[in-house]
Amino acid sequence: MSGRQASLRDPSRIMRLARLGSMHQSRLSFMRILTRRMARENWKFARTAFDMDERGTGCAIYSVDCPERTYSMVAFGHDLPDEMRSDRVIAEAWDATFALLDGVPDETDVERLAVNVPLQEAGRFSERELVVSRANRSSRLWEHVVTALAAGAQPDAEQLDAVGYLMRTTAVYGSGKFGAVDYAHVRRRPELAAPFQAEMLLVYLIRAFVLDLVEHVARCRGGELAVALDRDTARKLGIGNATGLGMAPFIVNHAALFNNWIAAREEAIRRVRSVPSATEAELALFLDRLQRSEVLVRDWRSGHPVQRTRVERLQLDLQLIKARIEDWPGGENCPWDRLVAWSEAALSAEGQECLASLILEPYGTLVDELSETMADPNDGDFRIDGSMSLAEACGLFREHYGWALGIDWRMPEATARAWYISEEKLEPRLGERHGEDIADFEQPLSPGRDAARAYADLERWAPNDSVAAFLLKHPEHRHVIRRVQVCRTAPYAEIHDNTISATMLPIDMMRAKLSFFGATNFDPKSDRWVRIRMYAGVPYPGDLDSGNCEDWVYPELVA
Amino acid sequence: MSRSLNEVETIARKAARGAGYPWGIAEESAAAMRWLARCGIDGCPALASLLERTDGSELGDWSPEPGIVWSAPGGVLCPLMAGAALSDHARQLRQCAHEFARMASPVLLLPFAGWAAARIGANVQVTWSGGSSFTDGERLALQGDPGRDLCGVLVAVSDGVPDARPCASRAFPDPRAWDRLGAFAGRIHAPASETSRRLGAGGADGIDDD
Repeated sequence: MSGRQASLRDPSRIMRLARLGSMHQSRLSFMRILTRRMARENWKFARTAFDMDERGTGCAIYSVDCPERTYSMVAFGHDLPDEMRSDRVIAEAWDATFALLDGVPDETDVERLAVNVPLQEAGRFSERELVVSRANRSSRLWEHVVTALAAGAQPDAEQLDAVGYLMRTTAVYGSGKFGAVDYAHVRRRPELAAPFQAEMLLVYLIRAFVLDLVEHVARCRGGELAVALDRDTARKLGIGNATGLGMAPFIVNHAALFNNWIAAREEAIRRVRSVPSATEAELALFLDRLQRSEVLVRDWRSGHPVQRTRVERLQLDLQLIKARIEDWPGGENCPWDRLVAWSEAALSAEGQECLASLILEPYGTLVDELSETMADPNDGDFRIDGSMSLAEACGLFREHYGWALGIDWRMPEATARAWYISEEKLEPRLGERHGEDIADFEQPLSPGRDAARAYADLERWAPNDSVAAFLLKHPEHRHVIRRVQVCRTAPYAEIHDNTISATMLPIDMMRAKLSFFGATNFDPKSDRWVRIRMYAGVPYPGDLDSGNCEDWVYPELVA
Repeated sequence: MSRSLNEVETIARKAARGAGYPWGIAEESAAAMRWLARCGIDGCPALASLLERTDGSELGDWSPEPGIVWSAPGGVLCPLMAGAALSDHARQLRQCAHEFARMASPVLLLPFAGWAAARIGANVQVTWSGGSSFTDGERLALQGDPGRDLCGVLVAVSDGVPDARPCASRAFPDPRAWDRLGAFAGRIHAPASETSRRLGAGGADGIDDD
């Protein structure tokens, strides 16, 4: 590319919680990386077993052939009584449970999985399992859809739109959890090289299973009267997901990995901003996605007052973008750069991040290859460079934690919260430090405070001393010295905000992660848990092709 | 029972923290146990025994003090503290060998020798009375069992790595040692309290409402 090169956006602006909590899906979202590959490589899907009864109890197997190997989903249906249905991670029973298996299961595998998969966290898994998950029915929608289809009618569109899914997953476990295969062992497979591809594949298969199951139960009930769900209606349905506090610490605990996600998207934005002029076709595609985003946002419902206000503002922002590009000379000097620069003063953070994702849409050839940079080749391991001088270490602290060095950490509100794991349920929690006896159990999820503490001690040392010498005397700062050294080559690794302040919102951390999954329709149920939609609009197995593998996130415009 | 390397890493991090180590050393403990497991070595008995010995004592007593021979004020070195120092001072290995005095659970030092090797791009040999190990950072060759305690350990740059152990993708920890680590790991979990419940912990968040 010739001409002016745009700059990367500054981490001090991007890595704020409010900004991270406004992120949107893009071409680099993990679901889209997967559907793009599935279409390009023409993956073959088959339902090889479906032994389910009229209540939805039984076992089903779906297989998927990709170029070098086969994966299988083994699904179990359980027909849970209503009073046992809970989205909490601590639940012990679900409507359906799943495992993604490496290869094709034989009878022994199915027997082994039938004992363990329904137990989820309490089960044991083997090197053959990649992912374990479970889902609950939307009690609002499931019965309505079964009743309608059994009677030969289509369900009410308004009710379908209001919920958006028939089942929601409440956890998707990969990476060696409960004995399943380690990600490090399979990461060299091209189809699993980008982050969370096995998890995204399982959720894609779950969505196909859910459609088959609801039609099966309706057929059992209605007999010959029963009809299938209208295909266009079915395609709009996604899989729901309920995400609680457990996900928030992930982006702090995997700083180098999180950097690679953000850095890939930021580099993509930079590349498109450097495009000297836009062709008519590129402009037309952008406008198409912009208009279809209006539909997506119009259907984004949330009962949460803060999110509702932000969605309303985003609707206005999309109108402002549309007005801005009317009669827009795409041939002008770096049009996308000008548009983004304009948005920084004209739009809300939601609007700016939505636009930043949208401008990537016409430029797959420029940005899609960045998906290959999003994994962490070191799997979270980072060796401290002990030979670094303390002068350089102090410089890194000032550069990456300047925001934290300016906070008065003696103020109670600055340290109001503490992250801990409860003995009761082994789940991450966020407690009130000054009101509960939890400080001794605190997890290292406050890099800002810990950086300020380390910096105070560093300042008492000579600048030409080494990190190695400092850590011999101060092993308590070792974890934060590691983080600051990670930042040296990973400038988007750290959240530039206080993660234990009285005013922080954990949902901002979850939103950042879920947007990279490719989730839409964020619906916070409190400041610490959120419902989302995954795969709404994606073609079902067999219908996915190179023509529809990319734009499925954006609802079709109704003429 | 076979465990994933991720499970080994997780219990090692929690157990070291539960036994009172700082988070940064707990991270080293996790990475070291994973490194050993990948080389087909079960580090769980050594880690459990180390944590039982250091539990409740002053960490400084077990930490290395620089010198011609690096030794601990309390008489016995912790291999995690000594290992962290070895890996931090890796570049010095280019000039001279590192000698450590008496050390507990010395098998836990071997991963740090591996990381030092990787840092300086050389092979590193660890020698003790009755055995030695060689590593290039990725692979490990082990001759003899370093055992429970060693009187002294010498770490130096070496020529090659003879007959490295095959790479393992699963761990087979000793069940008793696993449970001992589990007991330490449990210490980092906060017990439920009435105050916490009153302030909303484990409350109604997430109950299905549709």
